[in-house]
Amino acid sequence: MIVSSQLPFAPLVLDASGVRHLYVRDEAACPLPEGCGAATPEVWTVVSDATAMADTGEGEVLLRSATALLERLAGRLARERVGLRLYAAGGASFLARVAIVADAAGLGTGEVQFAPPRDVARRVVCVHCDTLNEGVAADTVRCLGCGTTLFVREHYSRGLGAYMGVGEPEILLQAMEAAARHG
Amino acid sequence: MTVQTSARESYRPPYQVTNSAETIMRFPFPFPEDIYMYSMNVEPHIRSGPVAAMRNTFDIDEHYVAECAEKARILQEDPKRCIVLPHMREAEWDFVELAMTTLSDQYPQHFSLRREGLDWHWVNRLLGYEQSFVFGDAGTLPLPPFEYMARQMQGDFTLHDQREDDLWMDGGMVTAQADWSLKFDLGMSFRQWHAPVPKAAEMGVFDRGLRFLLMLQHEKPVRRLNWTMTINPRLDTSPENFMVWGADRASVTPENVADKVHLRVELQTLYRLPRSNAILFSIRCYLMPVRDIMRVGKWRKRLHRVLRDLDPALSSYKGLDLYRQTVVDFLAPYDDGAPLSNGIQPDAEQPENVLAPAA
Ligand code: HEM
Repeated sequence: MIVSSQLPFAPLVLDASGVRHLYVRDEAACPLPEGCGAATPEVWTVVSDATAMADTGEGEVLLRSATALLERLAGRLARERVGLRLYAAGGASFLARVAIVADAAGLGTGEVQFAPPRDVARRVVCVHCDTLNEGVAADTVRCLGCGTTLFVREHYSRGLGAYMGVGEPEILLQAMEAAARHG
Repeated sequence: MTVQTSARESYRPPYQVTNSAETIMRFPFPFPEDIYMYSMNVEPHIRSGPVAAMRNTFDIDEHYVAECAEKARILQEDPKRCIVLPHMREAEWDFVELAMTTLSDQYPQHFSLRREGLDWHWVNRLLGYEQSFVFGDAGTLPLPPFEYMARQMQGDFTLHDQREDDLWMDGGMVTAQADWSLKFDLGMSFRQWHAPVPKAAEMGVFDRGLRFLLMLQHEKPVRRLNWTMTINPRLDTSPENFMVWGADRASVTPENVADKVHLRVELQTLYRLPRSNAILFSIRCYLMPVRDIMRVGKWRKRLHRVLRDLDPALSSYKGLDLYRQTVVDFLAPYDDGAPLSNGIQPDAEQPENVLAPAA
């Protein structure tokens, strides 16, 4: 059994128990949930383009940025009633932010699905100074807030939408290196 | 238990903490056997037990005043060590009631509580507090109810809402933790906040632990011991301040090991709260230097065996790797390999003097 505090990622499958379906993604390349056809989800896609207009008729809704999509999602979820199923696909950071919006709106565990992230760029919060570091692909990152080299712990907070980053004092790093060398 | 009424002790540099013979003998030594592995080690928290520290609902000892002072200082430096989510208001009052009634009942010389309906009057003679308030009316206390009371107790406390067959980290005051962060774990479920722990999930410890706690009943508290090691008598071994204290782990030498290295034991007690149906988790931390553990024959031998044979995954998770061997080498000459009795109780009435006193 793999135990982790990270989001419950799984391939998206349309949930027949839902009445309405909303699919959000941070890139058009993300495939539709499996089972689309029986029911068609509404699709919102980030296009990263300042000329995109969100309300052009039917079909796909195009949003200028992830932030724009998430703001719109928060407004939408505030007006929703039971029966909505939310599906999200994209990068790890985008999915983390979707989870925060969905949790704030009170969506339950069975009402949201997260596709396995299409990149490994995680959000890392500095436990020393609370600064959120975006897009961290490596196991370490220099904190934007306090300059500490943070080591990313395998501990994810759904509430913060981030992994925990903790520094290592220089003396400790050297001692551990020396211990590893001498076996 | 004698309580010092002024705080001469210091839980940060320059460190100054000493344990009386009584404090040593009442220490909840965490190893009932020569080998240690995670297990579902939960038992009823009744008012008896193998050592005196386990015989009160909330244990007060000679370090009370100094620990409360250190807690106040940490909260001043970092207010995020105390967070309670708004839906836990009722649990806050449950906690105030449990703490005030049991403390005044079990330590009448230090605390008293007078109740006339909802008009309560609380006296804490150790810290010199006296407070009249209306139970259930937060405006009549100088601080939010949970914070007001948790500041007057040794150890850390967390509050857990129960919903969706799970427990949630929905509040707490955490200033003396073994490397975990309340502000980070806030809002997590039981399995989520335990995610960094190696092995225990695979062993089924968390599944069984959670199932057990979901059925915990009012007035039937339970307890377990957990342990790690800490360099120097430092209560605040938080990840928040790891850059401040982490380097201490590289400071242990054969010469200073007896005084620097502390066995850090958490007496964890759990209570179902009556109105809110929440669970209170109390983490009472005891720090005992190797020098003092040496003074009980059974404990020094058993500590040697447990550390020598400790699972590498646990050693690494607990952060012992840089100095564990130094401790084992120090203890080895004092372990004759004789069989030891099961259980944690000491094998003598009084501590003996094995090492020359610290310089
Ligand atoms: C509401 C009750 C509980 C709370 C709030 C709690 C909290 C915690 C926390 C915060 C950690 C540190 C995790 C980290 O590294 O970030 C931890 C560790 C651990 N917990 Fe719990 N826990 C609870 C109940 C239990 C129970 C019932 C068991 C077992 C029956 C258990 C077994 C463990 C173990 C084995 C560790 C690793 C400790 C070590 O090696 O130092 N916990 N717990």
